[in-house]
Amino acid sequence: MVVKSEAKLVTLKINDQEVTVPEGTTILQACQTAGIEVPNLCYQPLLRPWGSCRICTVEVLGRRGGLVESCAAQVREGMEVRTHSPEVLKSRQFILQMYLIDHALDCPTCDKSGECYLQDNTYLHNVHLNPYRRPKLAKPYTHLSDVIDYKWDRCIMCARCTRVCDEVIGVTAIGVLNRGLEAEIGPAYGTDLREGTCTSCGMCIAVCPVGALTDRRFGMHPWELDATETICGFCDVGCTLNVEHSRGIVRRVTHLWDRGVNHGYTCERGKWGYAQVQHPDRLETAFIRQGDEFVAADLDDALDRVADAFRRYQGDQFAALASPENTNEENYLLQQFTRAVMGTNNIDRLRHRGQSGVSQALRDSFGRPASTNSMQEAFTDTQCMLVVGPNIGETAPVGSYWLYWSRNYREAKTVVVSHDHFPLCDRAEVWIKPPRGAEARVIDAMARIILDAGLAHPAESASAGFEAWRASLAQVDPEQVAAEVGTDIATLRRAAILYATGGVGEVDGRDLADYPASAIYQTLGTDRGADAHPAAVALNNLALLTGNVGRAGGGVIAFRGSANFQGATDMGCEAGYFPGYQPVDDPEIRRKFEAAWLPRWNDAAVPQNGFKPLRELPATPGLDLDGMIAAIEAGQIKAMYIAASSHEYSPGIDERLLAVLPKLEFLVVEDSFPSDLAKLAHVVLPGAMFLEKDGSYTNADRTIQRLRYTVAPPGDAQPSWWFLQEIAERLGYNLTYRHPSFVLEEIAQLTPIYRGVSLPRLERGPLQWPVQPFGAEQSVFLELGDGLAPEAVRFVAD
Amino acid sequence: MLDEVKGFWVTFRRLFTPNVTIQYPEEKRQMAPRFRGLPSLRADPETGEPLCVACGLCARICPTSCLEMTVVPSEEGDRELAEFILRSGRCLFCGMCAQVCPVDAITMSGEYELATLQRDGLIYTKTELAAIGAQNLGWWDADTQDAR
Repeated sequence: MVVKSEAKLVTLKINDQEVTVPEGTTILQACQTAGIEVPNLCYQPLLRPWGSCRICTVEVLGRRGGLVESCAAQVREGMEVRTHSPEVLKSRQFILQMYLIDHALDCPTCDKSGECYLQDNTYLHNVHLNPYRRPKLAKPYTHLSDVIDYKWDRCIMCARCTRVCDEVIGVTAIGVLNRGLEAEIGPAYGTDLREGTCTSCGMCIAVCPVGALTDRRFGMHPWELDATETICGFCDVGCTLNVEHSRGIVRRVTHLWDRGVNHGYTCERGKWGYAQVQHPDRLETAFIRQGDEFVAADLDDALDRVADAFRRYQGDQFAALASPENTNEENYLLQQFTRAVMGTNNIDRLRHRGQSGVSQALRDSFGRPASTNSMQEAFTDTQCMLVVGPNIGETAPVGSYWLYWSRNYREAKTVVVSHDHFPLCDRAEVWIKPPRGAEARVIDAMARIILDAGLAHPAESASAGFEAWRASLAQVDPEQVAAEVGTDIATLRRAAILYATGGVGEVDGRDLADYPASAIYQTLGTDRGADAHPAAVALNNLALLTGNVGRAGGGVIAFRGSANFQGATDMGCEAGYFPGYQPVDDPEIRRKFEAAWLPRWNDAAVPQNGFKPLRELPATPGLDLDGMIAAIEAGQIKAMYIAASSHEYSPGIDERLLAVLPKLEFLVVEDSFPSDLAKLAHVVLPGAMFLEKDGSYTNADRTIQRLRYTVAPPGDAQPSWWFLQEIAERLGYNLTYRHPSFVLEEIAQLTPIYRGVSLPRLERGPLQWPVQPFGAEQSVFLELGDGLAPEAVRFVAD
Repeated sequence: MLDEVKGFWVTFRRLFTPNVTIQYPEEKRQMAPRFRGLPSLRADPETGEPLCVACGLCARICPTSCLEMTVVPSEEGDRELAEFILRSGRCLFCGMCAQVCPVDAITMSGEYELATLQRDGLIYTKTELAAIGAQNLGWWDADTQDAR
């Protein structure tokens, strides 16, 4: 919680035990706090109480008296609650008997058997006989889509699925059809879910307490499965997944409701994306190019070939590109290899135009290419969300769930500026649909309206460049912009006022700093071909203008698509920076890294072909991706190491890069699938994917989280850090970390923003950089003066 | 001399009493209906569809873990067997699998002639077990009792 408020506390007695909880807590939550388990079937954390299952019944003694549903009743001072009195137990047995009337006797074949709440409660409450039996009504399985099945007989109409789909996922793909005994769950008009708004996120299956909604791809029992908690590698929300596997194969992904930035929620890629990791097309051996053919090779042979070749290209003839889906440790090793072994600063990440534009914009405005706030603040502090860019429900789905949730539960207002039409647009207060590329004009027009309305209040310490920027807005005419983008001035005004007043919607005379916070969620960085810089900078300016930077619930959260894009940038996979944004041309910093890295050269490294152990690290910034493309074209860069992960959800490689790569004399590609990039290589190394390695990822809002090794990589595939260590050793440089946790230890010592981070510490939960020492309070957003250097924050006129 | 005659008389009498020797393998002992032979997989007598619903209970309850099954989701929505392996070298013939099966798909057949020349022969797969199940009718298949 970021907001601190004075909560009124209430003391009540549960089973003769005194419990003190904040006012407004329900009896069920109070029981959970006290460690007393009360059965519930329709209650779901994060959703409001529903009260349809009636099994959470408890007895309240005294005047109010009688049986109440504990999920909805709020605690009162001096209340006396009995959760297991004879009355209560009898009523729970009755309720279970009612459910079992039509419930199919399917336990042996039901997927949920072993983890079914109805089964558990029936055993727990000793329901052996059912006096209400009659011939059962039954219906066959309904295939709601190719991944979701529904069996009416097992459904207990708790409506958790429809509520989750409506209130959190926001797409309302399923609902309760018919009423009474005929009631069933399904999509409108009986269409296949894929044809409607369903995003196949699998959350309906996850919340179903019985086996009514089931995963069609899964057919095992829970007792046969081992579970490993790890982080998803398909986008930069960084959801925690509970990956269940047996005999070395992933069988399904389930949900940990109180872990991670996603609170257990997943999207299609998180829920079913393991099929990509276990795909039969995965690269399983190394390949060496011979003429036009690729010949499978032993790993040792391939690595020998790589080392022999690299020996000829030390210096600026070499360049490396890091994968934004490799872990922090792997990217750290790659830039260490490039700088300390190959002696060049030519290192960058594989990125596309959208990602580049947004990163640059964040750097220009805030000094660091990172989001200023975090998604968690949507639960506590954000009262207005400005959502800009391609459909956030596809690019960062779990990030979009909190937008729907806070609209429902905190009455937060949403303003969407997007060319795409998705369910959030219809639920937003304002939806503006500009043509692609015109977002910057809309944002600037909003800024102009805010200035004219007198709602501008940039923070004192963050006003650099304000006058120049305000002057540049002089030509912006909101009426004209509204006409250009196909909306009217009233809508544009409303959008601007909503954002500037934190959702209040009108100027009500209060002090400008007293308006609630507004956050910007932008996905401009996920659009491959877009020039995202103008719009991203405009958004940053808007946040600064309204005093929303350095404030809980405000700021800018920029999703850039690849799972560890932020981490790759943090780890110094940039031509001009060491890890942690420390510039390479600063002699003191260079000395620090030289002291850490150069001693790894061993005496056995024999100078040959011009290759020699380095005595100092290269001092001038190298070439970034654009510079590399030009240099390859000109024949200045002759050898490269490119790490990539070309699975189905990856954004693809920049075409300009693919076009010039054939000019290289030697190219090593580390990839997990056969791809256009791998086809251009001289040596292909089979890379492991996120389920197959240990390490850490940093997500879009700077949260560092621990990946865990879950299943073995196929065949000869290895994680990137293993390849780099092997190549370095062959070149006479001792990279001998036994495990990524040692790499992270070194990172923490050399990188101020990652100070205090270690894999053991990450076991407890995520950490956000900059990490505070033990005992100090951790801030989830970057504050002016701490995290955001005041001299780096500025208005940028584009 | 009298003792020899008495002895021969016993032998002579025995010439006319019935044999107790069962001439195996031409004749075989009739097993009790509840005899526990090798577990086998039954099919529905009318339709021929395998009865197994792939619930996994037999594999779970087996004291020696000699049953291994691979289950995949079926087209209709429930489960079906991809593979079913019985390692009869470990089997105790205790009958727990048959007892726990909710649909009486796995039963103890009367099959006891299980000797093989190689250890691999002790491993039975789904098709083999289904074949044994089709041959060996249970005591409850009353209308086919005459066939025995």
